[in-house]
Amino acid sequence: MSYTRTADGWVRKIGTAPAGYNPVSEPGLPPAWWRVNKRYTLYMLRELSSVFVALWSVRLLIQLNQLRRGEVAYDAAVAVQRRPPALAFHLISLLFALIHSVTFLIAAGKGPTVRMGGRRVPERAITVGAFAGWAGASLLVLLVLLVGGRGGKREVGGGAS
Amino acid sequence: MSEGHDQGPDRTEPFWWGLFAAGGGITALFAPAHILFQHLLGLGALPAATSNYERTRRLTANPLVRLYLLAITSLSLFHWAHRFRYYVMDFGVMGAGRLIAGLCYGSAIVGTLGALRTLLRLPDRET
Amino acid sequence: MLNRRSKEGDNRMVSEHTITITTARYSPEQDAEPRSQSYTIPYREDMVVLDALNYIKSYVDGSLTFRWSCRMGICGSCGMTVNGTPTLTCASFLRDFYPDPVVVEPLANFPVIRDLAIDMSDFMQKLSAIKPWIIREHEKPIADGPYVQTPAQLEEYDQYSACINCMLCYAACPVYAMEPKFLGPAAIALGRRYNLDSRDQGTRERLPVLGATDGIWDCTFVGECSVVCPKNVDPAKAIQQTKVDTTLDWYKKLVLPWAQR
Repeated sequence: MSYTRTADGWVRKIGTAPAGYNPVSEPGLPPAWWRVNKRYTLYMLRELSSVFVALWSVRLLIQLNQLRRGEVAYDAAVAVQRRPPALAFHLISLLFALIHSVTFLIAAGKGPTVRMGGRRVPERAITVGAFAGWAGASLLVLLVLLVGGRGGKREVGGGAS
Repeated sequence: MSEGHDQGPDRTEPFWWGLFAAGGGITALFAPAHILFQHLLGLGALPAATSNYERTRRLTANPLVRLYLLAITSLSLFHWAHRFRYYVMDFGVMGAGRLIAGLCYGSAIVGTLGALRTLLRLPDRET
Repeated sequence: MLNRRSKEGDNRMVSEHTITITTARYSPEQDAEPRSQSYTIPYREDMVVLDALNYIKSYVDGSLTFRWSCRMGICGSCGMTVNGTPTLTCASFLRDFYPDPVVVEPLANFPVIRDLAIDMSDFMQKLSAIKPWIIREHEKPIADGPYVQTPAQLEEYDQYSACINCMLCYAACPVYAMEPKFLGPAAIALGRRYNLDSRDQGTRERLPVLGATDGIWDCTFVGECSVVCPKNVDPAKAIQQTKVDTTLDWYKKLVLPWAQR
């Protein structure tokens, strides 16, 4: 990549250039730069995972919206999820959500500087703590899903409707 | 002061990054469990509340649950917005930075308002 | 494998084994674009890429231009791209590639002056922009003695002080490749090194550069900078910590604008 400094800051230059600069080089990176090594590829997948996580949350809201329409509409919305396209979408979403969680929690170990009792907590301990938090949060979700909403006058058996 | 570095600190970037980090954290901790237990296993093997109208209605009537749902949906959108805005640059799209940022954060704001609307209009506990 | 009189009558290294080194060549006076040239040289198990380049320059082609100095991984001069990876040529053993050829190119993302020597003025400018020295609001009078630092205070910034300014991190960073205005891993890590130094009072003074749009905020935590760093500085960690601190300060100022740091 070739660039030169001007009064406005850095300017990308290709073509003829002052002596001492590589006159012919592509600015930026080749399109497939992220295929070069595994870590670059994982990085691009990690960034992509945010799309699927966002799609999931939108999907969650759409399903909640059906709640207003009454039991029949809601049950229909749930039934749609059992069909192969929805299952495939959720499996892919799960894969990307896992990529997101693992990469984010490892990265989270690097961010804050935590001190306990005057000594700095090593990075590995923070990361282990983050993963423990992930396990705890997942357990909480599971419990709420299993126990939630029970104890009403009319309760249809869980799962299928 | 060297030339090219007189921009001064960015006044808005920390705000978006803070939302991005919070969104990343809450989705990292909770999203996989939702997808696995609610959307996959919850359809059959697991008696998940969300596959049943009555139970979902009762569960979501709880204001804490609504608050949690607002937080996770809104923050996941802001997480996506900030990440996606930089993701396009990884594909070489270096121009129109302000426009792309505006579209991304704007979508997240619109999505948040939509989430607020949905959650406020949820039915209460059955009478 | 002892050095003995070669066929040429001098005491250059002689070996039964050979290896091919392909290097980029570029002379601004003659070449319109870079080209490459291959050399087959004697190979010994204990050779590093820098030894190969020096052999070429001494006995085969004296016009080959490259930088080096300490040959032991502390000066940061010999950074180049070896088989596509930014690396210190004094730390890259030929035996890890032998018998395959080794391709040596100039350090990526920097303009090339000649052959394998790059123009580092962008990095030098960014380095001085973050003010890599102790900044004091008030100097301690000499009569009060030296600044004292506990081992714990040293530990705070020690890792980031290991940087040898070799710029491998800039070569590895895809953000820097696409956005030359990005402050870059080493400059940010060194800025943080001084911000964390208990003797330093210059955090606020460095904020306009570190906290600029093309400062820490261009970084998307690819993390390759920390992978290629030969001194385990972990600049990616330094950048993330700076983002966390800057963001927390920003929210604190929003909520408590009257609080002084």
